[in-house]
Amino acid sequence: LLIQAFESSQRSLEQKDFRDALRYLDLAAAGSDNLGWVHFQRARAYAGSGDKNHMLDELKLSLAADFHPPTGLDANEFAAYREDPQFQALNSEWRKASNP
Amino acid sequence: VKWKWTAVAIPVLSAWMWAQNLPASAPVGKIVPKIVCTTNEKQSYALYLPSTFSANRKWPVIYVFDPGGRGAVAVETVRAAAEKYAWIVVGSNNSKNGPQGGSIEAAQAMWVDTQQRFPLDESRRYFAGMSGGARVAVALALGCHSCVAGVIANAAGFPPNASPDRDTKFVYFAAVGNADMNYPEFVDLRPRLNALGIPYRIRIFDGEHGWAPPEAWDEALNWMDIQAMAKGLAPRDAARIDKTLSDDLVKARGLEAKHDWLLALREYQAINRDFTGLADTTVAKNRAAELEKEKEPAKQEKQEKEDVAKQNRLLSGPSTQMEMIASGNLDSAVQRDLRDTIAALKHDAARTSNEGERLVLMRAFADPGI
Repeated sequence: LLIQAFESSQRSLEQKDFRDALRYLDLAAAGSDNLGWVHFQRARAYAGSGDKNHMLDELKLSLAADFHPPTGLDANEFAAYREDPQFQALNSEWRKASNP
Repeated sequence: VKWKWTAVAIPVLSAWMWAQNLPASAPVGKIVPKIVCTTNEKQSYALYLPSTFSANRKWPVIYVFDPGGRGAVAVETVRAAAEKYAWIVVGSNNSKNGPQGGSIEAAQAMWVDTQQRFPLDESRRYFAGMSGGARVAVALALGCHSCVAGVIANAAGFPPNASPDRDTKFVYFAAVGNADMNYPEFVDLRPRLNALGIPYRIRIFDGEHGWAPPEAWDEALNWMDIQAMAKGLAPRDAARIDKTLSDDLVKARGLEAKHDWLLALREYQAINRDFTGLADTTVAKNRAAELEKEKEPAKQEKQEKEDVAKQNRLLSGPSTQMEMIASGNLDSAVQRDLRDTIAALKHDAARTSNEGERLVLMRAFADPGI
């Protein structure tokens, strides 16, 4: 079941169906031991759907859970926020965490 | 999905390709994470050449597919066995699960590029993969007919809507975790392979859905070598045959000592299948005949079927509910129930003291380990 939720969330993200992606990720969160990954994927979904505040919240939670893949914020969904000062601040924190 | 790709593959099978294309230099005994395909620069692969590699002979090669396009991870998984048995390992950096996975394009590009660069044994090419990558490996082998000698399928069986049949020419080694959600596929597959007389092994290891441990890959490549010896595709190595037979008998006896009667019976039957014509299998044959008459293996086989049925019961409702998300027909109350079901499965699997029940719950819960 958990794999079904994970894989479906990735498929929804690929197809830019961010509402469904969030619903699958809600299920993934119920069983996953890697909540950092779930928060990061949620951030992608919120970014894609234009919800900046939730995106930033989820990225902070992902960082707090020590999940910060070095190229994570290069994902397409974040492209629209690259000039945003709040995103830039978080991006800087992210890179520091990725390359201590 | 059309898996037919012989039209592209066949022209490159000819020996002249190797003769006319000098091999690119590549370090031996270490993994090269990225080699870009000359005929398709969008495609690349990770590579391992054994430390004994030279251009003076032809080498068995295994093309490995990770479900997420992590070629170096796939190659690393096989590396130790490949070094030991002197195989070349190639892992696609592009082939991924999903509708845009691009597995055929990736396979074609790797295939063409490696045939051009390296002296490969045309009778000893293999596909392998994990999870969706295993389905890719089997699908490619089915699609290209006799282009590979064998397939190693880790954590998943055949692709949907495909099954072995009388035209299946490759030998088949599977490795699956005892807590893998795809375990039931192999319960279904075994009798079909038996009925068709296709040489196979199904190795069960302790673990969930994921790459099999290095010892399973060691066994897989060794098994493929023994199969090649039996078919005359590789020179017979009597000492290695004897050692493998002896190790397999030790394994079978170990299973008996743990009262895993069904697994022991299957091990003896496998020894008998694999070594007849290569070595004296009387011991395995006799012990298999004895176990077939005993009640315990049959009882354990019945339990295995009941476990599969239980897993299906646990999954059928929630899995269908989850599918309703995509059609927009899942209301929030059902979503909550579904979330509770997932949490409960995880909780119950962690709490139960019954090992059989734990495995069934783990298979239904199916943690991808991300």
